[in-house]
Amino acid sequence: MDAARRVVLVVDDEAITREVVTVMLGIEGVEVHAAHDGEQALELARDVRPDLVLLDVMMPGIDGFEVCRRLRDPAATGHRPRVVMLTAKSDEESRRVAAEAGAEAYLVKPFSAIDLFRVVEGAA
Amino acid sequence: MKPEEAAELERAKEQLLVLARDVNAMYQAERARARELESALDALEESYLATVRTLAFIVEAKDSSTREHLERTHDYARALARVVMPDTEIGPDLSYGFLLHDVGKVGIPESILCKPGPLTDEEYEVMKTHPLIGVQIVAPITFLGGAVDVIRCHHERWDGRGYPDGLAGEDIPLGARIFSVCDTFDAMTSDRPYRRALPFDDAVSEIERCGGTQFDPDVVDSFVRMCAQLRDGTAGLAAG
Repeated sequence: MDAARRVVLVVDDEAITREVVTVMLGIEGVEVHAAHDGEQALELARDVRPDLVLLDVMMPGIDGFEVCRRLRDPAATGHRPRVVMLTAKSDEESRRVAAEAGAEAYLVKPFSAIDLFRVVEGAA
Repeated sequence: MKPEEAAELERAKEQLLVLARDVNAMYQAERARARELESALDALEESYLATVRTLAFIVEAKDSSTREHLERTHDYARALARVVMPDTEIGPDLSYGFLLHDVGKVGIPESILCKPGPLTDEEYEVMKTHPLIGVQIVAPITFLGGAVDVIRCHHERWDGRGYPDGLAGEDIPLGARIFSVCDTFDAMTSDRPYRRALPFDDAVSEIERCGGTQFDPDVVDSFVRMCAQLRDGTAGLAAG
């Protein structure tokens, strides 16, 4: 990972995922912000302008795919962060939808710390 | 507990297990890397020492003293350092210093360095510049550390009448105080063109006599003790 400022936004309704990501990426000196639903995620993304958003799929309110679409909307001007889905859904259909929504990678829960570091580095 | 809470707890457990395995894998990888680095460092240290030896032998080849004198004095001084500082790990920089102590002699004209008879006062003044020439020569070599003290101060005397700085007592770095005893001892016990070697015991007595004037009396005590053990065959001059 380069020494430049790296900001990651993790979005998950379950606290364990938010905490694990915050602690693991903290080791690498990444600035981590956390949101517990889609609404809060979109708001935080505007404020902190993350380089990468780690996004759960099944959340109350706006689901992860929709959040991803809005973050990656080609019509939107300005900041478009990289998105990696972070989800227990590992079926082909979900992967296809994620790719179409503009996610560049797909981490299946429970996820490995090594894979997590890899996606933050952009090597996934 | 509600079913969704139980499911969440189950997922948290699974996540924890995966991370625990990750930590283990990363720890093993780090340990392997640490071992690799350690052996690379050992190899590096060895090649440093080989380089320093070569540099030292180049100087000695020009001088009348020999490679054997250099190696012996180095071995004496390492052994004495272990006696004087039993609780201190003797690093390689002392070895570098012992080996390179006379490196400045490359800057002394051969007419003076290899003169068979005694030196005139002027010649002696030139000869006395070799420690500082040595310090200048090795200045760019950062890994020498405390070795530079030995190069600079190996002709200082406990009573302050040495050169180049006229330091006295404990102002003289310990490595240099240890080295000067061994250097003198080996010179006395070696044949020279103009005199025969002194017997071992006579040389030890001579060192003892110079404790408190030329040499640090504590270092001399340690040296005498070490020599007694050597004579009894209860200690060896293990290299290292």
